[in-house]
Amino acid sequence: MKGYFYRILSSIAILIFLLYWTGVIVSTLPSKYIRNIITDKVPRFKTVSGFGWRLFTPPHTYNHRLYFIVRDIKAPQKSDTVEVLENITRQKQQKVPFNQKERAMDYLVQINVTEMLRRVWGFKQMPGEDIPGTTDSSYIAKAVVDQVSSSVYRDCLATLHNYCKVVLNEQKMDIRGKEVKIIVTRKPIRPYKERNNKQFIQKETPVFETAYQQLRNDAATN
Amino acid sequence: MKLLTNSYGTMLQLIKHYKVWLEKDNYKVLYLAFLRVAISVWLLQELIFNLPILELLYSSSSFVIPQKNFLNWLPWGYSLIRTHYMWFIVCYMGVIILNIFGIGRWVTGLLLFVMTHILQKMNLTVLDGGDVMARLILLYLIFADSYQYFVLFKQKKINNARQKVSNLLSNLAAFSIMLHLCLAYFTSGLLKINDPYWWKGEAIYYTLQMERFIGTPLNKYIIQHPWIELIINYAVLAFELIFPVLVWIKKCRKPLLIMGILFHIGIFIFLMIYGFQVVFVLIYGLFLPNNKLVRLKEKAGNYIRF
Repeated sequence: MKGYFYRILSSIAILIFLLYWTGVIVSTLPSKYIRNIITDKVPRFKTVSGFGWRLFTPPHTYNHRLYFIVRDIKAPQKSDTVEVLENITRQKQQKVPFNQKERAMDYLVQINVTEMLRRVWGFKQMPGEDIPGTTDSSYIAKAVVDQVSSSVYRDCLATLHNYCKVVLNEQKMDIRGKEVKIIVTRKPIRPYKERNNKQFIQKETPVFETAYQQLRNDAATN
Repeated sequence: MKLLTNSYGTMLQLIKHYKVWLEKDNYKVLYLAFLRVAISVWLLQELIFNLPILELLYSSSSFVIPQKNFLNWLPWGYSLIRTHYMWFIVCYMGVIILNIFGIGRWVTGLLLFVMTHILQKMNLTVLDGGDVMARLILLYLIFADSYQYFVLFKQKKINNARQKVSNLLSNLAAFSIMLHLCLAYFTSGLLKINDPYWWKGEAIYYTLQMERFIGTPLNKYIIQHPWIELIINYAVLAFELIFPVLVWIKKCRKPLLIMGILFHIGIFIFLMIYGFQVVFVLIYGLFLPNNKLVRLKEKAGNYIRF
């Protein structure tokens, strides 16, 4: 009886193995049609079996900049600008290879910026100099409106707001009575064909912008 | 119809043949044990290195708003873990240590997988491919008998029928880990040949200039020499497509594993991505034959035997 049970168990194990691997291969390989069927029917499967292994594909052709523009509510004509991503990157490079904190900070901030941009722009054309009849700010505001109700977007934005408080605390700036505007820009890497062109200007393009929002002292500051 | 019946019959015979072969022996018995210990030590090391920032990563007072996931379904669980995250970390460390010594066997393995999954879900933003691969290894190791070496207490003899199932599960687990490595490379290789930057040989130029991944001043030196970029670009492309196919052939294995180690050392140094490289290279040992590893272990002496 026991022998029969173990024989059956072996066959079941092989069957599950074959089914599992068929699912993993189909849901991982870049063939959208069948992959979508599996991930639609069993969304949890992807979480367990892994993720898309992209390994720098495609490579980014730009670097992001994240600006916090802080001003006093009572004196809005004067503002301070703090850029954070370049600073995190510099610290990360300085402390190689013992840069756990800087690496974590880089991931925490960058992933929220990237995810927020992905939500806002999706497949839409990002702002640039070649969009006629609109300014960058109005074009961005129009795209952001569609995402205001999305919880992922709101969480990413709230994280950046919280991070702003951390940065201001580090700089010993009092956040009472202050409001902040968040701006994300893209700074292009000099294109491959222009690699020797010293005249090429790496002009930053704003791709995300919020209105001024008051900073509250109630949330996390770690 | 007859053709269909014939091919169905052939497939069944093939499965039967492999079933007998898989039940015969645990072909990766030593390395599975080593992998259990190595992955556990790596998890412990990551945790210890991250001790000063655990509050930032997991506590409820962190500035990060956690993304919604299955933990939010628990009416009390998520906030409880985040509020008392240090207790969770202490328990997690305990389970890792139990797993290193093989105490609790697959039950500890299962617990470690679940706890790793929860910890990763508590902060998805800091995960890279290495964390995902480590979680998958832990999942497969639950089914494997990785307790013949490096354990505090030796296992009692089990009956023949049970041993056969144990061998089969261990071999399928080892095979799954190896397959997952190959799948990761191959998927990435396929995406790369469809990507214009990789196809035209420009990808390394851009990758080395992504500010958050500039690991050394040498990155800037390399991008001044297009021929170096081109060689690396196409070597990466070729490696990712060739490795999953040819690593199964004995003659090609050694050069491919050496190439792979160089590839990962390159990413480690130039792009500052650390854990990912360690986990991927750890899997390489599964491609080595067990008898060679046993001989190596014997040469290394008795001090590594528990």
